[in-house]
Amino acid sequence: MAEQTLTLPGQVGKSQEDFKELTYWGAVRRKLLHDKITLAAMALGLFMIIITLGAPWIANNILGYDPNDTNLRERNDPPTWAAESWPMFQEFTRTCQGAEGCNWALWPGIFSASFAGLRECFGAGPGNCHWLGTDNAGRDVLTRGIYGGRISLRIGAYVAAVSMTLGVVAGLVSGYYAATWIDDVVNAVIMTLGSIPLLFLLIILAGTFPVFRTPEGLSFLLGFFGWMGVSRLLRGQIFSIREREYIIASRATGASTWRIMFRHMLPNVSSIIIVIAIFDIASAIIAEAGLSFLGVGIGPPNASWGNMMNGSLGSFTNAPWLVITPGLFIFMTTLSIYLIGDGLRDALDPWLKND
Amino acid sequence: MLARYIIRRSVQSFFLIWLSTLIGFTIYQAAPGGPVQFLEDDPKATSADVERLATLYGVNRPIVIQYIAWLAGEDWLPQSETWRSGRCLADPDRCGKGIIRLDFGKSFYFKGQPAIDVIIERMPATFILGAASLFLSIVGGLPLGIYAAIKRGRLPDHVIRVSTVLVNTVPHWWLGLLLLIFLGGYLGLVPLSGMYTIGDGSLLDRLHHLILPATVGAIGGWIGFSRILRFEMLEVLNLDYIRTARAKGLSEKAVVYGHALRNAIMPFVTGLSGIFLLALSGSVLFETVFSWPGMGRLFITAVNARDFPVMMALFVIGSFLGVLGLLMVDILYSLVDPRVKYDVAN
Amino acid sequence: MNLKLSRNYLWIMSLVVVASMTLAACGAGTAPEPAPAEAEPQEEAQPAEEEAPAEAEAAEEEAPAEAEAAAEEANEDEQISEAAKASEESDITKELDLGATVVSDEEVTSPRDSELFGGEYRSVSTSDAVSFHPYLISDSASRGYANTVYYRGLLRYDENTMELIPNWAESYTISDDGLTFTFILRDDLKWSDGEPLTAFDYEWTYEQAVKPENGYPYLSQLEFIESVKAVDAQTLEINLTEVYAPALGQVDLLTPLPKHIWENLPWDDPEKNPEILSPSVVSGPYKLVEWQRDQYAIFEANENYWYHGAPNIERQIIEIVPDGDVAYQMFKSGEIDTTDITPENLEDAKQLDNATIYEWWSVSASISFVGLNMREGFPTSDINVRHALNYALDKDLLTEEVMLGQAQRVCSIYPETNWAFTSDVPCYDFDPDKAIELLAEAGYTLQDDKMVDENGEQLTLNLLYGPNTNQTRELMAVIIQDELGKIGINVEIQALEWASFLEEFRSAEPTWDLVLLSINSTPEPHTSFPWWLEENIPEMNFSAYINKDIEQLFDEAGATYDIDVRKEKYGEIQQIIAEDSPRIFLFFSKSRSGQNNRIKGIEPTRLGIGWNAEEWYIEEE
Repeated sequence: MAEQTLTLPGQVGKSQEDFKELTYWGAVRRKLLHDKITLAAMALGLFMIIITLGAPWIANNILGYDPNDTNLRERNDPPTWAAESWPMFQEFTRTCQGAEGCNWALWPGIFSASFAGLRECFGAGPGNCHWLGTDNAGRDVLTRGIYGGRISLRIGAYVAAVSMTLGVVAGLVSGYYAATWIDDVVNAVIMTLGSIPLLFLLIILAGTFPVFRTPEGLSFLLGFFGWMGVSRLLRGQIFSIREREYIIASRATGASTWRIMFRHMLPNVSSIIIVIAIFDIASAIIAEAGLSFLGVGIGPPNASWGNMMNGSLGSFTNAPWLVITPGLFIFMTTLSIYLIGDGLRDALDPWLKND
Repeated sequence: MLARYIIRRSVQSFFLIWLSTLIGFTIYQAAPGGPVQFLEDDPKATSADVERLATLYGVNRPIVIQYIAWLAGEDWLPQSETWRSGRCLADPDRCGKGIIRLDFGKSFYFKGQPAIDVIIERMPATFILGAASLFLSIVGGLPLGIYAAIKRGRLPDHVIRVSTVLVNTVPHWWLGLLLLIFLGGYLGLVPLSGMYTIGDGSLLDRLHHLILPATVGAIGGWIGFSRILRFEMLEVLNLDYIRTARAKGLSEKAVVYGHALRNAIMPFVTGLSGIFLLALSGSVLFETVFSWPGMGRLFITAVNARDFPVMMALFVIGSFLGVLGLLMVDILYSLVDPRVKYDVAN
Repeated sequence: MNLKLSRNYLWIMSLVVVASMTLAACGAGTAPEPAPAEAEPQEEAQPAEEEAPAEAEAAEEEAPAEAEAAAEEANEDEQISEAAKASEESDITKELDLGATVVSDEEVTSPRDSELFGGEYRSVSTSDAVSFHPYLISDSASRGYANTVYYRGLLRYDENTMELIPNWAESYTISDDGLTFTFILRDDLKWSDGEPLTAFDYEWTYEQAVKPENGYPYLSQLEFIESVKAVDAQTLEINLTEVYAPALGQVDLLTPLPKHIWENLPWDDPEKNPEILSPSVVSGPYKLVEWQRDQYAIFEANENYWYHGAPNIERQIIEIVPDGDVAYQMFKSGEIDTTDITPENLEDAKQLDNATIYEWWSVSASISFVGLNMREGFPTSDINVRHALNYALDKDLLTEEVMLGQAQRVCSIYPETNWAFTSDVPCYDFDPDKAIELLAEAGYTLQDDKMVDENGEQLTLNLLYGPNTNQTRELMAVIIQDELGKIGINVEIQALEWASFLEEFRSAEPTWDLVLLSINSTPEPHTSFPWWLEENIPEMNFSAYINKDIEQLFDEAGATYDIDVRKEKYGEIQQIIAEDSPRIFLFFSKSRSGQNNRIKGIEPTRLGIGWNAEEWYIEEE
């Protein structure tokens, strides 16, 4: 696709060098590099990818815990640095429940104890500080969080791959063959899937078939039921470029349908596909969390951000870090994904006004 | 024209619903376990007990027959164990009438109660939560969208956009859980579970219980609506007739609310199409988080118990609402915008 | 009754919890809840449950207790209780004399007569009941509700001796051949509408329950009864098909329903029989006032109820709160009077100044164990491997670490609280060296920290548990994996959702080598019989353990009313099973219940906390 070049208004007649700069992807890159928010989001995304990919190393060398090592003497322990301040906070909440109302005077103590604890934690070295507490089996929540990312991110990527593949093929085909029976069939399938309560269907499937409790199975499931939006969008796009001159020309030269669809039409909509795929990753991560939270997602020996929260039910007020941690991981990941997606959307459409 | 269109769409809708029952049924049948599995490892029950109950419920009949019986009833089927459930064989009055005669069957898990009754008992809870969420999301989302559009490119617009993006990056039920922990568990400001205090049930008490779940349930709509509306308002505000209106010297208020909003609101109506389905689907998670006694929780119970009639009834109701939503939007659309024509041929 | 209710609650809760995941126990629908004991102590044990969260476990235990309590009731026969006291906690020593009549002489009282009458007892349940019909329900939540409104106790367990003593029956007689039980009912028993409760109600109810088309799930449990006859209003004659030791306890399965109301209504159709979902005429300690599905149920004392006196507490409210943590918060704030106390919450709960944590060792406690697959071709079919695994697991560690001391190690199929218990069984104390030695005999050698067979392949065992949301079990699985890993055995953990777990664990061709289970025990030792029958492979006898001696011994133990003979047989059974090691026994759990301090009169016994619920009363501070 790099050969695809654009001549932007006002740039006619530039030197050969500049002209290279003006390839489509060059323009995209330039625009991206000037978008500080997107750059920051990319840094955050990269950070998430690094900590999850490097989870074993980080767990070993920095945190000093194994994600599955149970320690029964440390069940549902608050973060090590909050060992002192947590009971004070609990005391505070007790006063809130009481008749006299919250005792805000406790807060300075809570802060100073936390800071003291944090200082100690920084100096403690690997294996001596549970930064985000422990779960009900005494496993380090932070360690499990970064390991959980391996599964959650994987699911995000798989789902995007599955739903994009299905959606792109369906969209291409139905757009190309718009108003024929092929289009009708695709439309009917989309309509059917659109009119059933998909969450119900997912719960039935994931709740009853163990195979859908694995990352691969669950991804397939989420992807399989998540391609309709892409397909619909692409169909419209394809439909609108179907009668463009270059398509008609290639048809006239005898190019096969297949070639037209994948060599000529697909590149034209690739920017849309990329943006949607990126957003898809985020929604897949959130969907996984929901299903696992309901107990019909990833099975428990493995940590995923969703099932870490499922495990927290039953003790969330006593151990809120069990709920907060996975949520924050999700937040950081999806935030970076959204922002990257947003930035890309702008960048991939060089004509788009900054709005 | 409209009548013909509605008829055509209704027929189509029924077909869709039927298709979704087929999907639901197939999955259910393929899943391990069945409604009598609870007895199988119960030492108090022997395999003869299990067998007897399965025959009585008719769950050991061939799958296709079970589907036919569920769909069209069993009272017209041959008098044999292969065709009819034991209950129907013993007493013709207790034969299922089938869903085409609006008989959703008898629940296994709820020991013979009609599935629809079980659902109706829990419907108000889901409905109240859904309606409250919808109300809040419209009340919150519309002004936000309009405001953002008017202040486009300025600080309020950015604040609104950023906060909606932020809120969308986490599961909304997770936000609900956090709020529940802090507001309910720690500060004691909202109740931790249920719809109302037993023995109280005054309006104030109910609102107190409703406020957090409804707010959290509204987040999704709130973001969605404000986005759609902002986008549409911007489109409309650039149109010629708005410029004309402004040129005429109409106040900005009159322009925005009198002219622009009316036209911008149409796509917003489309946004409502998925609302029923969303409300029902969302109910599963929100009801779990807030211990809300509605249909979403019932659905999980039914799936776990492999209670086919209740599960399928909920499924059909969900499909029905989904289809109904689409249909209603189409019709609403034509009412809001007389330009829309329903060309049956197209 | 509060008790009952509370038990029910507990049950319910536990059930619920369990239910969700449970096994089967008794089955409840999806959630099979363990309904164990509750109601019928004598009935079998149900394997109940398993619940999921740790709390659940705790709950379960309690639940049974309450259940029992429900079952029991109380009148104490003075002599018996004295004797019991004399013998302390000893096993049952008294044998049932054939031909003898056992009499009770307690007076009937009305709840309104008590000065302590009044108040409201609030509890929570994680799941709601589905129905009140005693002959349709199978889940523990419903059982809790049903036991609240329908009482069944012809007899009850004595809280000290664990012996069955007359209750609603004024006396009972066993015929010389052991085949006929004659119960003389009290003449002052009444339904809540004032109509007398008679033997005819029993007879009619039995006739309905045994009709196959009426769908009683546990019909096989009544097979030992040949007929139930009301000789006159007060005389109930039950004929057995054969001498069957647990029969006296199992007769309690017969919950009478009001014939005068039900006669004209369809038995099992809730649409046409309003009594099924909102019973109006009841025999239990409480009447239903209001039931809001998935929200709450309110009960009010039944002034015509009698059992060991009448309930002091006027109202019972059961609120449905699916989340155990929320329930605990409500308990802390005093919004509810009782809740399950999970091991994690225990320390915190003990600090509460508005509540007391009661703990007891129940006769219905759940026993946790590792089931071994004894089918041909599995490593665990070799007795040396089974013994080795037994030695390799540090059961004390599991008991201490997983249960935080809230459990006791167990080496046999019965807990210490059961009268049939014997300590004279091999216990396999932790000894990894011995385990390695035994594995060597089975053909495995330790190389490079790996236990390998002749072909050099590492010994790999597949450990199954369910439901996958059960954190206690998850913890146990991980510890077992660790422990066996230390002697080079590779353990692969497989956690499944409940229904799939059941499917897999009772599969005719299972793929697991080890399975983690807990099963609720019951006061009646004979209820564990089905677990060991060859014909129950693969369902209940999931290990596929075949030992004809055991079947023979159970048959013999079941065919006599002589307690000493039975005790001896059960003792032998325990020895053989412990020797053959089809299961690695881990621990049985302590029962625990948190009660608000305003509830007075609570005295947990082996029967549970709820056995004297009628005597509880509320004293506002």
